[in-house]
Amino acid sequence: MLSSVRRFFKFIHWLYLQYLLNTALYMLEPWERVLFTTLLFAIISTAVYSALVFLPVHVRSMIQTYS
Amino acid sequence: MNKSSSSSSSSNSKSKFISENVFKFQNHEEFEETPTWAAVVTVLGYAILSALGWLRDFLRHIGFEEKKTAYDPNPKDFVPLYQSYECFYTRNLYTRIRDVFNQPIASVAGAEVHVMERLSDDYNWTFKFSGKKIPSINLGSYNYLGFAENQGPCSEEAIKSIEKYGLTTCSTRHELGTQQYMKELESLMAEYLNVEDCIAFGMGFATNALNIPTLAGKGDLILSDKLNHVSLILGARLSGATIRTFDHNDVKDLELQLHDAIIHGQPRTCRPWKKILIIVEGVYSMEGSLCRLPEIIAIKKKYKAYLYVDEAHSIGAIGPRGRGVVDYWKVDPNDIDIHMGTFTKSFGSAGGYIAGKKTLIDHIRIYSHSACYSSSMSAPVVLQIISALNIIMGRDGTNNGQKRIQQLACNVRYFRRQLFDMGFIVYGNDNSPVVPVMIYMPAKIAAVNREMLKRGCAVVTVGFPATHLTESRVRFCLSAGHTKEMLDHALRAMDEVGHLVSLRYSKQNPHLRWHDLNRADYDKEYLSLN
Repeated sequence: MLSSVRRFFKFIHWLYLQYLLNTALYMLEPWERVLFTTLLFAIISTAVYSALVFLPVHVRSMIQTYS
Repeated sequence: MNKSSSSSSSSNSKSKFISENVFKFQNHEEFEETPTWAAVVTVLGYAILSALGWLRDFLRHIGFEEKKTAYDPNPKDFVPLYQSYECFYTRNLYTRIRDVFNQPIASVAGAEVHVMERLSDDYNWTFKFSGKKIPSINLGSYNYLGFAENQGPCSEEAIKSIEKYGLTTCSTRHELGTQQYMKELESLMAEYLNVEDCIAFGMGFATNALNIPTLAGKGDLILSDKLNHVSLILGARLSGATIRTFDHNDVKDLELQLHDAIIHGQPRTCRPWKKILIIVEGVYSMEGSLCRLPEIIAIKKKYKAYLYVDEAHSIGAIGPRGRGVVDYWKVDPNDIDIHMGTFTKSFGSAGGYIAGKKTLIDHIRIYSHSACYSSSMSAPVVLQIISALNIIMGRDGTNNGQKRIQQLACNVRYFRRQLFDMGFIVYGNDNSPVVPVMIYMPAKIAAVNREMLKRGCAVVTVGFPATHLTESRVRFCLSAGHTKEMLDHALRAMDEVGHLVSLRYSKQNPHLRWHDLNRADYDKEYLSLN
């Protein structure tokens, strides 16, 4: 059981390393990583929030206009 | 390919039988296309780095952060000496991963090398040596035949020569600088290449840059490959001739350019060109590709142009007898007008040579800038080349030279085949000892180098100015000094690093781990001749 938990944490660490390498954050200083991740998180969370709040209303009005 | 381990008993005929099979002519060259997602992610990575670079530059400009680069201390009211003293790329991208480039070493750069460990407190602006030396397998030196060693017959000859000749002649070739060993070297090299005469210079780069101006001038046309080395480009520019480039290894494009050039003549006056010189390289060191010599020779004969082949990386390393691309393609050496090469790579020394017909070499002896102004070669350097040549040609009575050449060919095939089958994108010809493996993203350049060093392999990773922006790579240079255990260690390390950093981009081959490969196939193919 313990080895599968360890493997899971290793997998999460591997995923984090892929994120750092593909976005070139691997070569940046820690405060730059925090800055970029904060910005990315802010953009994604704004998009998700807007989708959750506005999509049902928009979809309902689209169905009403076209039916 | 025949598995020849069950062949005849006596060692002579065994090595002959092995050599026939080892050098069965398989000329396969491949450059797999960049996967689109990799190119997009690479460009995005550079965009993020540029944006953050601008932010840091702004912080440095307003004084929030201190300037760590060198700045131009020009006095007030003087015009600035440099536009931007250290450019944007160097400040913001190169310095962040500077610890993987220019690594100092602490031992002979043979098959194994000791890399000095450097630590940095302020993100690579300054370094401190920790004193620790990391022993690692050397996969970055151009030590193709394994002559870079500090023991053995070559280094003994070099030491004896210092006692006999001293270190320098303190003179140029035109003055009192032509020693006996220079004549011996030149006649030996001419015999090795099967041409009439040869001349040797002290520096390989200078051989190209300073001798192309003696061969071409104003009113001539130089057709050079797009991926030619900087020394050839510099020499061509210095000569004053018109330079046109053709696509890399593309014989149809070369023919089109030649055709157009001969029909239209010189640019403004439309007079015929005085001469046309085609410059190609034997092995291109960043791609690992070989030039298509028979087709280029056919074109050159048809359009009556001259051919200059730069065999810096291929002399000694390519071909069944180690005589370079001429030997590999089995063409007549008299068809190539100017053979050029260097002694730095396969012979473990320094310097360059130009070889060809006696009339050409006599002309170069008189008119070359390098022969006239640069100091002549030093005694231990030349004696190292002479003893290496004697070993390769078999003149010292053993078949050590032939064994080295075959060991290199086996190593190359073994290493390349496994990397290819594991799913990495490997560029170049199957027979070239230069193995570039693609890593497209900038952050992975640093990651691959550091992780390989942790696992005991010193590799060379190259990024932007030397290659395209989106095509960074790690370049392995194999050597006859590498044993099968070293190659296995390196492949295991590359397999782990490839998994950690996710370097397996190939779409043609399935992605396999090292233990998934069928070991028996590769071991049977690897003929151990020791």
